[in-house]
Amino acid sequence: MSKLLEQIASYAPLSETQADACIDAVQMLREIVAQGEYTRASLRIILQKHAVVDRPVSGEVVLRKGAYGGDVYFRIAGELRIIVGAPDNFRLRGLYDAPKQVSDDAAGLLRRMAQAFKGLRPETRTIGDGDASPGAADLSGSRRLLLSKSDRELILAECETTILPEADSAIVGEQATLAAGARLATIYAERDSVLLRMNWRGVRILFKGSATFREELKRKNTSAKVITSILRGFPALAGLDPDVLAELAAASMLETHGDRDWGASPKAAGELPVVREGDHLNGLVLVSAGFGRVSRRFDAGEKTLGFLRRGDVFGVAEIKETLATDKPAVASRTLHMVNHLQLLIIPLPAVRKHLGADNLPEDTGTQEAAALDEASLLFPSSDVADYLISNRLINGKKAMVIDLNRCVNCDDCVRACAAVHGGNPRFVRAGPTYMNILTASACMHCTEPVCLTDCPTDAITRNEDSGNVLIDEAKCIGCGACAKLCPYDNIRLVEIRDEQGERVIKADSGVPVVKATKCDYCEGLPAGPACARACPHDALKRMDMADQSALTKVLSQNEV
Amino acid sequence: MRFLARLAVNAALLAAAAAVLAAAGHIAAAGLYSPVHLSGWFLLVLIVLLALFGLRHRILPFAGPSGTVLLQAHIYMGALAIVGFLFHSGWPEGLLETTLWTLFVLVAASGVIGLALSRAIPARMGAIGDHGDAHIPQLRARLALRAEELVASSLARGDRQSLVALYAYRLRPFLEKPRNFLHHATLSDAPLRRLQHDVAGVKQLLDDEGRELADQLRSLAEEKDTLDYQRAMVLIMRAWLFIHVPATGALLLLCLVHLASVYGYSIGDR
Repeated sequence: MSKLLEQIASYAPLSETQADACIDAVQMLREIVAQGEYTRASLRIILQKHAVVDRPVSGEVVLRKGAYGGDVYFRIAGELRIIVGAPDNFRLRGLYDAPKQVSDDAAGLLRRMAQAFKGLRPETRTIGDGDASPGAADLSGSRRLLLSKSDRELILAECETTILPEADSAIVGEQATLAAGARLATIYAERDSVLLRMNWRGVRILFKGSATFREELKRKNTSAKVITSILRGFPALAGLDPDVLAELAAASMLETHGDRDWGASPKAAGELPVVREGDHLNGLVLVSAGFGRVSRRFDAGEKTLGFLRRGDVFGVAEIKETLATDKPAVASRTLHMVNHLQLLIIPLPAVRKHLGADNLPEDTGTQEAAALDEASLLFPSSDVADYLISNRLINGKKAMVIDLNRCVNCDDCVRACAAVHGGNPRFVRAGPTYMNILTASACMHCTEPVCLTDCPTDAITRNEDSGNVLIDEAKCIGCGACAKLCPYDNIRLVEIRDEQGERVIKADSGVPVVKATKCDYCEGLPAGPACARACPHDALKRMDMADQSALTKVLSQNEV
Repeated sequence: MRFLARLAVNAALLAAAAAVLAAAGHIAAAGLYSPVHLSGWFLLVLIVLLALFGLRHRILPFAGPSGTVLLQAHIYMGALAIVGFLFHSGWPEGLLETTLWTLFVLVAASGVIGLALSRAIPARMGAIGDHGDAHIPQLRARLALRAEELVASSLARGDRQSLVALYAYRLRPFLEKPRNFLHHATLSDAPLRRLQHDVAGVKQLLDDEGRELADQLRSLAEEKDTLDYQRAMVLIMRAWLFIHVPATGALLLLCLVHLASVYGYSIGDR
């Protein structure tokens, strides 16, 4: 490692020469320049805007399983160890539990409460709070867990771990970053290491502009190790012997359909059948990313039975029958891709050899077609899946659902939201309805949040622990990229006021300053979302749209 | 628990509470304490607690029980207050007592009516599609504009004068602002049926294309009537608060006056 690299402070912005040194130290970046996909000068700028040097010490946790990813790490020096598998009851000082969410501090909470009693002016700022310059990367290493010697001995004794080999450890964390999802495994520094840490924005720039980078990620993502970690994400398979998992991974195939960037036009990529009813099933189908709709032919149409998200399984009943009778597996339902769908297919011979009928995962996403009678298939409660899919609400993890049979339009929810947010309520009590369900226009903190993809200042990010999508007011420059990308119009641009209540106008252009605002799920408030707490009639709930039983309950409650 | 079962349980609990209060009054009398003073204090404390419900908007988002829990507590305390009132108050005498008595009855009655309305009306609105009261004026304006566009094509034609007259004399006044509040409040659809009858009458005079237009106009009128209905329901759901809340404030004030006069003119009763 060059002397210059040794002198670079952790998390400090990189100078030109320092960025050059980083390019020389990371093989992938050298290859990108060598292929002519980016010039050294442009890559330098990318690093200066979107990367810092990170120096985890021995035992420092770099990535924590289950936390939401925002950064990718390029290894420059040192060694990283990955916890490949842990026993179900393994708990190590919060290694696998998300830290409890607390408010900024008690004084901050009291300040927020006090403002509810004052005359409120929405979106007031003290001018001079300062916006960060566009492009500045805030990559501080907050709240890193440091494992003690005994912690590490315990991990080595009870968990399955491996040192990341030279080639594979060149890049870590890219899967969760690109999918804006949870980290698949915990990685810590085996000894003092030096990493180049790049944020989401920088990674996307490289991904879009460099075929070399894309190919490398594709190779990694289809590697047996990655497929093994995907398999471990399915509870029924996580407990399998590591050798069995490795064999399953080696035999499995990863298939990607549609476009992950389905952005502002939620139905643009549309729905295409991926497995048709009546087709031969060549294996067990696991959903590793994206969304799928499951349907069955009825008369001249396709009746929706349900939808699938990451972690769901398709084809279990058919495979079970095949294993029992030796007849070919024929799909009894159609699986459609909804915008984007990634499937992991375990071929039938591998299923037969390593799993058998007794160890198959549960068919969690939809009802068994054979079990449905005509009434269940055709009539109202089964249509809720259609409502969710056609409005692309299946993405929502914390959607605001209002029971119209209970809502009296009292606006207590709106008032509560305004009380917590300086007089500006962060949602609109309107949206697509189905029978007595209304899904309001409030951020759903999606499973796959497309709004994160194009922010020029990294103002909109996903909280590592809670998974909530948040906007940093200080960094937001009001460009509106996130608002345009949100398929549900849940992000709004609002004008900023000074303490006299006047609009703040940009001196150079004469245009009012605007900022993006949206529901932040009352992040930091111990009591949780104020809207749900405030509703006196139990009409408003925040729910995961995959929880169809909860939605069905809302549909059928109020029976006398 | 289903609604009727809950109602039965709540009624039983209230009866039990009334029995406990009656027993407490009896014991107090045996100990030479004034049951009226005790029930009065009990009632005053309840009224104050009930009035604090109005502060929930400031505290609730940050701490304490949820809005649902608070409303349930408010309802139960209100029921208990009615029981306490029945024990405490006989027939009122004099201006102060009569006013106090009337205010309490007003608050209690408006509360019970409000509770019934908030349970009954949302389901009615949900059944026909709740547009949200903030959007109703926009939707109404859109319907009016659409109707105007539909009729505009017929203005120049000599054989559609009946349609134009239908629009000018019946539909445009109907579409331009909220109508028929009292009819909707009493669940009458007479005005809409009259309008539909008028459209049916005009249809007989028109050709095929004209009849098609008339049908579209009728659909717009029906949509607008639905919006009027929703608006009426929202107004009714809010109207009772304009009695309940101010009356509560006045009641609290007069309670303090009553308290002062009771102790000011008492002869030392405990």
